[in-house]
Amino acid sequence: MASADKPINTDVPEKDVFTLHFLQSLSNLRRQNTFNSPEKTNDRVKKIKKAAYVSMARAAGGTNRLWSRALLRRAAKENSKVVRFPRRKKRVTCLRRRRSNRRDPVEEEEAERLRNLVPGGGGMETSKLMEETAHYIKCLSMQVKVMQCLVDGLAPK
Amino acid sequence: MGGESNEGEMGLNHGDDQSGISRVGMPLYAKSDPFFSSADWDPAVSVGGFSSSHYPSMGMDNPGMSCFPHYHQPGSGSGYHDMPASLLPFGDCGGGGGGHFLGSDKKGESVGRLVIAGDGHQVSDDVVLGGSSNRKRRQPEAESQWNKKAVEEFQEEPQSQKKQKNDQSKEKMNKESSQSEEAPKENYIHMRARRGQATNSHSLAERVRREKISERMRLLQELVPGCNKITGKAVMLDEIINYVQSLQQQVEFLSMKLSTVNPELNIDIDRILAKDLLQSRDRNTPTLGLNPFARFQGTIPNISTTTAPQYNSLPQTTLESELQSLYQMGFVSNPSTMSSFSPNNGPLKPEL
Repeated sequence: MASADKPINTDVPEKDVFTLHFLQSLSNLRRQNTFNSPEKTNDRVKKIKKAAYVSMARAAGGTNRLWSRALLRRAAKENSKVVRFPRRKKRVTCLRRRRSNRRDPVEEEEAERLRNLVPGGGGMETSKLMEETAHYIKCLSMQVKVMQCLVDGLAPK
Repeated sequence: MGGESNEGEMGLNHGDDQSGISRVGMPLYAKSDPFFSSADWDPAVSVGGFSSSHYPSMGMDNPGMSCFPHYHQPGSGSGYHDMPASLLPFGDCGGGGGGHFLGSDKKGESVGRLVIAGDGHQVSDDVVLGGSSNRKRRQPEAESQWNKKAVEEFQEEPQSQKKQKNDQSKEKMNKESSQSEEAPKENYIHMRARRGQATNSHSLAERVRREKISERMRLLQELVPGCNKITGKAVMLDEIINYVQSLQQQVEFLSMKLSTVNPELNIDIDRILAKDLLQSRDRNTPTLGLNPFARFQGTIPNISTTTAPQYNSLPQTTLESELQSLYQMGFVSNPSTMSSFSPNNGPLKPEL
């Protein structure tokens, strides 16, 4: 068997971290004057959703994960803010060069769909994509739990 | 995991080739490897190891290996000095092949397996190393070691450098345990071809990649609920995609709910913070000693003092200070306070 690389690390922080980040972003949202106007519910929903994703990306590892990095970059672009990331060790371009060798036609369509779902999936090799997917799934489920708790807590008794 | 999956996959692979020889042939190869090694040859170990009973079966079942009895007939350590010399013709043939099987049809699997990536002139060296490694580690290592015939190395970088680094990295690899899961000190993925499979660098790379992917599929299978019975990549990937989509939809739905449930998030956030964190904390530290439903104002200072030490276990050490400031400020939306949060995401802070 091939000697494997270093073991795959898919640890996510505790729920508190996610909670804190999410509440923090919500409070930031609240501070915006346009937020509390009850007419534009769609905008609010979108903002909350975006805040949820961004806070999840931050809580889950900031710039250490490819998907969170891509998510944050995407969000920053929408805000038209310039974001600077610390340099990564490996360059993505190296992986791109190898991509032509790595295709397996059977699974590539599925991998393509996965790439569309997971942020930042376009630049990843399939094995890396699956690592990121695992971490993404864990963080997403954590975020869902946090939001569920919030909704339950805020619901009028 | 390496050991088990090796044997499992080995079983499958042997089914493709001569299945009759699969069990018998395993020790055969390891013992035949020393034929080709000269420098590291330890006659005491090897000669005792050979059981002549294996060879007739070898001759019978694998016509490609008819060359072996020819080599074995000297039967003693002295005969092996001839080995490398006689191997050289094969080596030259192998040079043309360049990593493929040694020239002629005679080669059969074992000899072909012993060819190591690329250069013809390196064949004997590589074979030496491969043989010695197999022999030396016969006892302590698992059975999967027996079936490894060729040594291939793969880098993540361009393959042009591979040949220069072949020798040194192989020696390094032989000195260390070749079963270690990490590439020793380099970026190589050390890979051995299994019996009955091609030793193309490409096919080995493919196998490495496939194993990587299947390993990660197993990981994902544990994450996605209800996927224990599913075998097969396509179905599994479908399930994963559905699960990710459902999670994302849940996030969207919950955010909609959040926006409608409470248009103003001012007042209740403190309570939620206290209650939520207490709920999650209650699972971790049952000795909290606080009534989670206590009145808001009265308990906030208590919470801040008693729960602050608990947060040392959190990965982010700044959580304490953040929470304390949150409570003490009464969740006042003070920009200076907010900006002090999450210093690990410093450059990204101005986003939201």
